[in-house]
Amino acid sequence: MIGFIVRRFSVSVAVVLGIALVSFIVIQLPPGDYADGYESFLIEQGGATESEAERQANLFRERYGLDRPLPIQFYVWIRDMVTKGSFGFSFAYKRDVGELIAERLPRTLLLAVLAHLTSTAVGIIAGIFVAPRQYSIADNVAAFIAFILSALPRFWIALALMFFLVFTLEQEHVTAFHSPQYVVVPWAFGSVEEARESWAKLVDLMQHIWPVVVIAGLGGVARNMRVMRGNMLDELNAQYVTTARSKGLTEGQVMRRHAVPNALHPIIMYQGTVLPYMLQGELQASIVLGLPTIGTLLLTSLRNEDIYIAASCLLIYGVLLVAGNLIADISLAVLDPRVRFS
Amino acid sequence: MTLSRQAPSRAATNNESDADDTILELRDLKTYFFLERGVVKAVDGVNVAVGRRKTLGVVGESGCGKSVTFRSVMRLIQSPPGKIVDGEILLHRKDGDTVDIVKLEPRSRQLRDIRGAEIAMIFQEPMTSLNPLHPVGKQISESVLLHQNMSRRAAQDRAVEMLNRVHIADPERRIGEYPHQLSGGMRQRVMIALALSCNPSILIADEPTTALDVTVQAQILDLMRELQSEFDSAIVLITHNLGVVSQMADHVAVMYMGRVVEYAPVSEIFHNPKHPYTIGLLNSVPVLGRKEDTRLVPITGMVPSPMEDIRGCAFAERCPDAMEICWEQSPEFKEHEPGHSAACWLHE
Repeated sequence: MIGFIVRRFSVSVAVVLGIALVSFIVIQLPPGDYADGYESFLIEQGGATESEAERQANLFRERYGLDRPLPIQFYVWIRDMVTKGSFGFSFAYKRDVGELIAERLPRTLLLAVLAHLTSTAVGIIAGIFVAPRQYSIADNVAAFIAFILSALPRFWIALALMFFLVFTLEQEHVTAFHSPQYVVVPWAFGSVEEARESWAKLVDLMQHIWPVVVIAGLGGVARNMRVMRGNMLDELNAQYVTTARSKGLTEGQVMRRHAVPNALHPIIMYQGTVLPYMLQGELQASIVLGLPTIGTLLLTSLRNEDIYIAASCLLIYGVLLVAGNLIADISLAVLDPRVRFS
Repeated sequence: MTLSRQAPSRAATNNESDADDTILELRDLKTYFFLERGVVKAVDGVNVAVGRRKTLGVVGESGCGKSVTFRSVMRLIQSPPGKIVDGEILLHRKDGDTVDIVKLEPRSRQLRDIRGAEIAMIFQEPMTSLNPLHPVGKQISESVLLHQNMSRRAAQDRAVEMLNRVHIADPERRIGEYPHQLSGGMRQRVMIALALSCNPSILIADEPTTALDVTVQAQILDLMRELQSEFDSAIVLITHNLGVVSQMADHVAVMYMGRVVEYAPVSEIFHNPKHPYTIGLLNSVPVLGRKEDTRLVPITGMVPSPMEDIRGCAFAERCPDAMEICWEQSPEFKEHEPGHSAACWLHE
């Protein structure tokens, strides 16, 4: 088991390096760079002459090393990441990329994990419920809802939810993570007073993020339900389920002990790919609801060629994908002896 | 004694002597599958009895309803689309009661008490009939814990003992292993251990050796015979292999198109077959050492579709001796010689 984990882990490290290289190259592909945007900004907004603007732009390139050959840029980026823990410098925000991401990552992950847990739990339970009732009314209704949910664009659901919150529930603040009065309240539990404030802040946070959790989770519910239903139907027809029934187990025991653990197999495999998917799934909802997450950060940085942010975000997606797969592999090995022993 | 369609089951009422030598009786059992394309009459009036501590061989070609018949006994038919539409399955239980399994609720406690504890089943595919995620010992002890009042520890010991009984070497280590670590023959031994772990009075073996290679087949059959006497179980051996039947069975039921067409002691079936279908089956079996000029004789034609409504005898269109009446009227299944029943107009 330990050997299995070590093997998988070392492979993962190599894959992450590859992803870093590819994300860096991809970011360089569009023509021009941030300095070009800076140049036209100076001409249009600052009233500078063309030659003056070009001089400024070249100075900018020199300062941030954009004039150096690509392999050197890549090397410096990776070296600083490993030695200083620095992901580069954001030209637009004039701040360290690491700081920017660190600011957004916990909230982004909170959203993603909540959305994911919701969609997985609800989807799996729904799948287990409908599978033995194949083609019944419950099954058809669930299938109908699932297809509608996965077909509706996320931004549309976000708009509809926002409309509902503002005009029906008359909630005053629907965007951002907190209502204004809670933004500066610190998370602290030193005194009763502080704890009560923090609790109120948590409630406020939940009020703001549940729409995103619902939106990002819905498509996943639909998908997990369909997958789980299909797996369950396969497993319920498997010979060992008949064996379990012929032992005299109740239908519930047959499901819990035999069919469900086997049917979870593909769902666990799928968990490996789900983290980045969740981060993207929540992008549209985040834009509509104005939540500062990593998704929106990546989008703006791609638009103004803020390369270090974009490359770092892609790298983080990649790392999450690899980490997710690693976790999925290990969970599978725990569940399934065939994976463990081969 | 009047015998109409219920030859092996004798009279309709139970009497004491009957309960002594018969453990399971199927009376006019009908299991149909209601599909969109039509109704498949997979089992269409089966009458057969299983004697205590005896082995009943059930033979017939694929799709003749032999598996469905005995899955009906365990109530393992998926419903919908399958349904037992008529008949009785009388089980003489260990406590002396007689129960009609057809009348039990599918999810009832009573039915679950019968499954595994009184009737156990092993299947054709040892590769898939065990759960890949649990160690084999746990799968055996699960059944033991369910039916017998004992501790986990004792159930574990029972699993070790059972593996020992089916001649698996080093059982203490093997109970911790998973199905994929065992060979096909070993898995079938584990299945037998599992099936016998609660001392069932009937073991239904649905083609237990079909998926195994020949040497392993012989070992498994030997093992079943050996354990039958140790455990005092009756065996229902479902197979299409007449050789296996001749070695193992006390009585044989030949099935065709959802019915038993002939039922007799094993020597009668092989030396004095009455139904043309049985004769056809026997002629199509190769015998080692037989001269080449006596070629194998296949049964001509195809099995009719199970959805067809057949007037007369289902075997008529393939029968070399079909008479006019065979196309008109279905023959009754009745006793023609003591202990030897058949459904054929030739013997009327």
